Amino acid sequence: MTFENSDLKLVIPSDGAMYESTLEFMANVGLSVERESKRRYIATIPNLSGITVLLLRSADITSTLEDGSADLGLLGEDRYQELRQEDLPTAVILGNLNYGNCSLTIGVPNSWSDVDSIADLAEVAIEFREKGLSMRVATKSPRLTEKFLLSHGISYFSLVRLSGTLELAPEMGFADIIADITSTGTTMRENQLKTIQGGIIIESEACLVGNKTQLASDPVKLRISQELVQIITSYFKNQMTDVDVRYNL
Amino acid sequence: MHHAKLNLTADISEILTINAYEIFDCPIIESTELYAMKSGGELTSRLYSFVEPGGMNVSLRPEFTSSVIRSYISDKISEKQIVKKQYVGPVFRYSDSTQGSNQRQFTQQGCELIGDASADADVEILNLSLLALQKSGLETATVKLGHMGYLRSLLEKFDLSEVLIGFTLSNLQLLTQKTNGIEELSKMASDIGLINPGNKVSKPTQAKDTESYRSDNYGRRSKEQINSRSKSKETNSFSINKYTESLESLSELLCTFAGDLNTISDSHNDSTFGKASQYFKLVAEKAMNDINIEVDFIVDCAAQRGFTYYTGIIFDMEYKKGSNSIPLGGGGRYDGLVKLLGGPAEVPATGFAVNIDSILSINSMDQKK
Repeated sequence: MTFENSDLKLVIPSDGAMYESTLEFMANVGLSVERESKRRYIATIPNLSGITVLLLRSADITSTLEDGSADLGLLGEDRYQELRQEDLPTAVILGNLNYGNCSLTIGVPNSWSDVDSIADLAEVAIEFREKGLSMRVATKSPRLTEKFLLSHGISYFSLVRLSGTLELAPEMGFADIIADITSTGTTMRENQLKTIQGGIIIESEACLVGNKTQLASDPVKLRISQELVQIITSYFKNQMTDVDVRYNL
Repeated sequence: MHHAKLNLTADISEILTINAYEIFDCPIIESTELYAMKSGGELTSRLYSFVEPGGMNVSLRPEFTSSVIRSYISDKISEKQIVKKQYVGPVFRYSDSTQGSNQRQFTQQGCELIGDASADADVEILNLSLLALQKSGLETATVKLGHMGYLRSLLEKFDLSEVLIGFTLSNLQLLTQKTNGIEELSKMASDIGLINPGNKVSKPTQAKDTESYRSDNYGRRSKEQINSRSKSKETNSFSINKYTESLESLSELLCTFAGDLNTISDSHNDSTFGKASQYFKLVAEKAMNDINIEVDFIVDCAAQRGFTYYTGIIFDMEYKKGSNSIPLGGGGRYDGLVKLLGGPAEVPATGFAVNIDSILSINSMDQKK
């Protein structure tokens, strides 16, 4: 299987739960993705010609869209908002695609019985500051976490950037609290952490992101992407749910 | 332009040297935590940060004070000794297009006076900052005066929690600049959950079903700290109406205690502001010694610079050009910073910094006329 350079390139996640659920979503909307083998990272959509599907790790999708190697991408909105460069021409075209649901949530030690809300946490941050310490927040999403804390009256903290097993950080002592992706909260619970009122940083679902300039400059790609968007929106109409159109192509 | 910058910074440095300020050679990169500890959110969101090859999170300096204080602490200087340091060089602050500034790098020059709590120290710092402007050839300047200590004591009278005080101080401009500022600020505080209406029984979302949790794991907080906060939460309640009332009184006081320093009465109906007014007049009058430029002193406590580490007088210097005002720099007293950054005790300190690029931009604007 090869692809034409003139094809519209759609990137989808090749890893984790997002891989399976994206394939399922595409099949549901009537655009099944066909892969030659599990080791082949290029695929096609037999029902829509002129489009090549590329499979990439979720973390790399945003930069691929930004540098123009791909035109459209399906990924979790939390990943996109965390990694996007604000002055580059990408945008969410369709939001809330009703799969890949998760939330980036603050978790604090269970033993902090005085902390139930984000306001409590703001006071604890001051308590740390008064001791000449800064509250350490372990996260894989430093940008979203920082923005959230600052806009919620928590000014004094430092971020500990980790790439895995965040839940252990408070127990191991290299962070005081965490901001982590959860879908059910089980992992936090099992690691003696609790969620707090107002502590959800972002509730995320999958979204369709596009490179606006690239699509606008190529009439063929623009037509195919409009067709793709049309198919997805019709699917949601048939399901009697509203689709969140954020950018009109 | 480059020559003009060299000349001006050399002139200002000379004034500072005459006044016994030693040159401090400040590193361009420091640990991110140092800046986060000092300024908190106001500045940390604008840091150019990266992880160095050794794994430590570092940032390009957004200002000099943190480094001066860090070095003061590591030198273990007796708190009775007066330390005077001056600095000059580029600083880096990210601003996106919505923040209206494209000066992501600019040259800052200033000094810190550590170990002197007297009014004379405040006078010296204001005087030196005006001398710096005078050296640049400016003929007029506006100095906005505020006082974090008096403002804070006023807020404490309303029984606000420390978090609400910090939040209110960071958003004072909303109160005086917008007609519905009070409602907006109350709503913001309530929406982000800073108001604890009390009587609400705390309901931990998940804690109950975790019998297995180890009671000794409180992280860097102690059991006593947690218990005492729990108790104070039960007794302290604060309704949104009470917050709105506090903001109304505060806004009224801020509006009546504002304007030209010469016309402000010392016998203000709030004694806090009476004292503030007397202090401003004393400092402003003495600071005009040897100053030939025309300076308008304006009291505007709500215009404070947002940095909550200030504890005393704060001033902002501006150049007025028609309806525009160009910020030139500022300074103030920050007695708590040494302890906050890990020093053994609170040490009085004050300082100022000017933005050399802003000052030079006025000179070149005027020449183009």
